[in-house]
Amino acid sequence: MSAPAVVGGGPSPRPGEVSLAHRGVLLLDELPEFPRSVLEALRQPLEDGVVSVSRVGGHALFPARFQLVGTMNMCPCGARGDPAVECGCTPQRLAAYREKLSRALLDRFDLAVAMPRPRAVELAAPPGEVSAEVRERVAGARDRLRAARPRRTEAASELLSSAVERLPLSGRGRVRVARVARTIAVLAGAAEVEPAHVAEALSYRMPSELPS
Amino acid sequence: MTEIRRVRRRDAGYPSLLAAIHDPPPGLYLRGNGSPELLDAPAVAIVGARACSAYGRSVARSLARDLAAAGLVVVSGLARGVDGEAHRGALDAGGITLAVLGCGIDRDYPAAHGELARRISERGLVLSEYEPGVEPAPWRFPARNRIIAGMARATVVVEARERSGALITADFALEEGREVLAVPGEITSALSAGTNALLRLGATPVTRSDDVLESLGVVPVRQTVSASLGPEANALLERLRDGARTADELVRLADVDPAQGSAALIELELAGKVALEDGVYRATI
Repeated sequence: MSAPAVVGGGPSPRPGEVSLAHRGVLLLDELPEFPRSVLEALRQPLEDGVVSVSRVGGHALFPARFQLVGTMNMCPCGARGDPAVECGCTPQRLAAYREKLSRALLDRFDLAVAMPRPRAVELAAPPGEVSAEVRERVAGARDRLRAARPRRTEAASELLSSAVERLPLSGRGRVRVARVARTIAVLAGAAEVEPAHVAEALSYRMPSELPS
Repeated sequence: MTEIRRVRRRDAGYPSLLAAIHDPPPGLYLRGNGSPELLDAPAVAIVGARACSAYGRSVARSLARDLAAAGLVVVSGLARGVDGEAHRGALDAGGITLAVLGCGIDRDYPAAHGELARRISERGLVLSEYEPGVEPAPWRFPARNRIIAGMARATVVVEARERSGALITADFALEEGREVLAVPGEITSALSAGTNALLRLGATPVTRSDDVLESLGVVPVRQTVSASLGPEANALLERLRDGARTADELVRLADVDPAQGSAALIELELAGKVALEDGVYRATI
């Protein structure tokens, strides 16, 4: 898939996948398999919410407010992330795989979730919350967030500061964790952002130091 | 890049332990903000495989963290794997670490560790016996290893295959009568074949960082941050002692509430009791 096909453009400008996903979700499966040019081209629409294409014949603005979901394995052989298996990738191969994703692109993701291989117990578990209920919960949280932004308790701020000090977390990372913690607090119906909310937000942080 | 300095063998600043080996380098090039006096500070070498396991990475890092926190300088070779983690562990503890290169002093090798070299040189030193411009070459690495072993009072091998570079470092240390310690590994793992062989030959086994301190006659300082952990954190840590787990597995096995579980995991991580890599938690030593 080429960069114009994803972000839009071409000789007579046409909207790309990011505009087709406007107000929706764009899922890129196997992120590191995309050419680096495509991945880097995503940064501008992610930041601005629009794609602007200039041609001799005129200028086009395509809306592109989408949620980006990307999936990837932890390593080319797929063993990393599973405590029961030892990864067999060479350091060079692992580095080449991960270097496809620039720090600048990774910095634009708010949540990183490790999805371990499901175990039999999990597959046999009863289904979780249904989408309609989640939707209601999220809509309620949005209304509350519009009305008032909860503040962090002193203990929560302390936890965030000590995490920034002890964990490999960038300045941008701190801002992101604070924002995610606020969302978690509002979803939980809490009046203030408590240490537990910050702790949960920290568990979604991007691995900022990829081992090599 | 900071200014490159040089200490020659006849200079007063030349490290005395290194001067005592049978073929000391004629001089050392240095870069970094660390004082050249660091070269003579009590040091431990931590070396091991480049392609190490998650176990090796985690042990190298927490070992280096503890030893640096106890005031020792951590020496290693800036390579991928165990070396890199040893440097990072020392930096985590706010300690001093020295990186010995097998190429010219102006090169960061491997290139992927350029940022790590920069962090090392903020308070420590990067050093090499080779002048600027010398290319990395396979035959220079054993020579580099004699400097790593030569600067340290003790050498700890974390993970090593048979006939690997880390064993060469251990051999140099043995020849010079320095302490050699090895981290035991699974007997079925090729990555531990070298370290287990060292143990069979009489190297001191490392089962906790105090083992290294005791072998050097350094009195272990009890960490002041070992504040009491909450009940959930203790329950999770207990489970992790049985082996590495993902967060989901831990929460299920220990039967704790997921929200409290994630808070407890952060508590453990900040206390340095667990290490997280690729979504997998491990107990540190």
